[in-house]
Amino acid sequence: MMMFLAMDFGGTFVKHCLMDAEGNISERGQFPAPLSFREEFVNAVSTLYDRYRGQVQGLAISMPGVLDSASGYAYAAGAYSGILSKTNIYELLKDAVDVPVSIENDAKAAILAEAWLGALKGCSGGAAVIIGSGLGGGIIMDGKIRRGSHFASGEISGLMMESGNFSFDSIAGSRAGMTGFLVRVAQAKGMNPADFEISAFIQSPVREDPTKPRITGKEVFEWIEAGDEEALAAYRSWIDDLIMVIMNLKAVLDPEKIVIGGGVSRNPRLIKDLQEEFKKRMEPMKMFGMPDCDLEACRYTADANLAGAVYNWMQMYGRE
Amino acid sequence: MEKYIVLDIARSHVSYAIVTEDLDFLEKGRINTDYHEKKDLFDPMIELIRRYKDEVNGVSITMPGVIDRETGFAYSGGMYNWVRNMDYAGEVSKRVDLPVVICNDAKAACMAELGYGNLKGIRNGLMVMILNTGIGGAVVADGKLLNGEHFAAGEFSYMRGDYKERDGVNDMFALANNLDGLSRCIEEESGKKNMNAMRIFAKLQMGDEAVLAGVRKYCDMLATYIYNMQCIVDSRRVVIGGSIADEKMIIDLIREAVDRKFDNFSYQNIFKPEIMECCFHSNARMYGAVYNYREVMKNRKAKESE
Repeated sequence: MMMFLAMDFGGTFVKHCLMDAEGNISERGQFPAPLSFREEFVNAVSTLYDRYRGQVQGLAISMPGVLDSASGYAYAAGAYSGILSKTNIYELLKDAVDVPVSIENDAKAAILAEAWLGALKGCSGGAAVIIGSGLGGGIIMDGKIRRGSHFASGEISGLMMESGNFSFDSIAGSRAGMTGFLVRVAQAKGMNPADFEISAFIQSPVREDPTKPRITGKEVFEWIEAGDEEALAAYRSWIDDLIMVIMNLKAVLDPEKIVIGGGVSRNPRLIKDLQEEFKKRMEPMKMFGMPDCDLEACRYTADANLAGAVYNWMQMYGRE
Repeated sequence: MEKYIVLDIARSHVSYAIVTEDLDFLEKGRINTDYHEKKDLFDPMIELIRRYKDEVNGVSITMPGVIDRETGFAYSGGMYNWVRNMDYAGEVSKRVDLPVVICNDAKAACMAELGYGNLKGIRNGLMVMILNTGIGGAVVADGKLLNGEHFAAGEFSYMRGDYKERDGVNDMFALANNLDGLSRCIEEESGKKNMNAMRIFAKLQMGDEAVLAGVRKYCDMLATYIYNMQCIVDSRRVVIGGSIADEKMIIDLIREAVDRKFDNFSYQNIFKPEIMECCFHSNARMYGAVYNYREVMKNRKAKESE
């Protein structure tokens, strides 16, 4: 069976492993992200590849950024933008790696993993809503990721939730991600949002006691389970936002299935509440012939980016 | 050269035409029908097709409803409530002994643009049709009309647009931006009641500021939905259809509103699509029917040879 070297370039670490064509993982490892120099990036890839040279038939990379997988060109590269922006990654690695190389955006890779072996497997049309600190998304058609005209298809983070509001507060990425949820809980309870585990991009008042551990989503869900009414109200309004995102995906694409990912999607209460609310909202539309759509949690938790990178490699070089 | 009989089924009549593959209309006409029972429609329609049987290569029908255009299976048929999960194209085909394809009428209008009009050659595009009661349309993904899992992709009517009114029905695209929505915006801004499209255009031409403000308000809402579609689809061009697209001034106002939205919105990762009017108006569905016939036949041949 074919064997691949898969690398996932994150903001802090690079995770890597060997993976076969069925998604089985062996020889995991990680090293600090080479963010400072372009040579450092090439060396990191080259050193790791040398260790597995002859054993692997392909190098599959997942990384942040706006990437053209077909040509290898990185328009932007997230945390790596300083060293890899406006660079052709395939050209850059040409001398270091003598097997075919593939790159894929990390969020898209995570969704490809679902299409390959997860909740979107065998699905001709599907969409994913990934709840991170913000909101990510992607669209699968015939097992492939949809890219659109400018690699921005599925950019649900940008959905405008309030017609006349042109600020960042209006976008789904601000409202419907974990940060949006936790800020809302803080406001409902009259607490300082800075005491919650929110994105560093949000401006909020200074913390009174910076040594106190930040309040996580997990804790907030415990409050909700315990019947905290303010937290529950904030939770309900967050659910409404997520439903609005889901409804828009549904109306435009008519997918077979929409899957919810991100750490919080492992919480069964969230998935159950989303399913119930979605069903309620769909009811009046069914009278007009609007068809149903499945809503469920993503199956992959860790390793999604690595698996998706490998699936992308197989799609690019035609060895599925 | 191939010739087809195309039929556009509406509530009280069927419009038909004999069209060549080069889109020349050789003959046009209409017959009156009823819609209550199957035979009210089928009997006169079958008789009509039989009259042209020896002249044409096949039949292409457009009608309301949820339809699998690849197989000709109709899940529902709009006001034709006897159309429920039936092999519509198959039944007609059996009775006339010709190949028959069918598709949804709004999708046909979009296919006219995709095949021969302003979406031709566009790999990723959108068609937004502003109708009396809702918003129809279609998504072109990688050069093909997107069907969706239940042939309901592009049913933009059901999109939700505003956070504040999410519990009501007013923030649904259908209600915010159908033609009633336009009249409502104008009434709010100018106090003028019951403005239909014709009167709105006339007032705009005369430079009525209050009516212009109402149209702008309407276009701003429309632009929000176009922006939201663009987050999902990432298209190069959006084609506006429906009766208001006849008026160039409205298209210009929509384009201005889209510019305002995309240029001033703080989230800058979504690309502004080009806004254009549709190319086909009164005969759009018939052109689309020709395109659909040729596409479906091409796909069937490809499948047979596999």
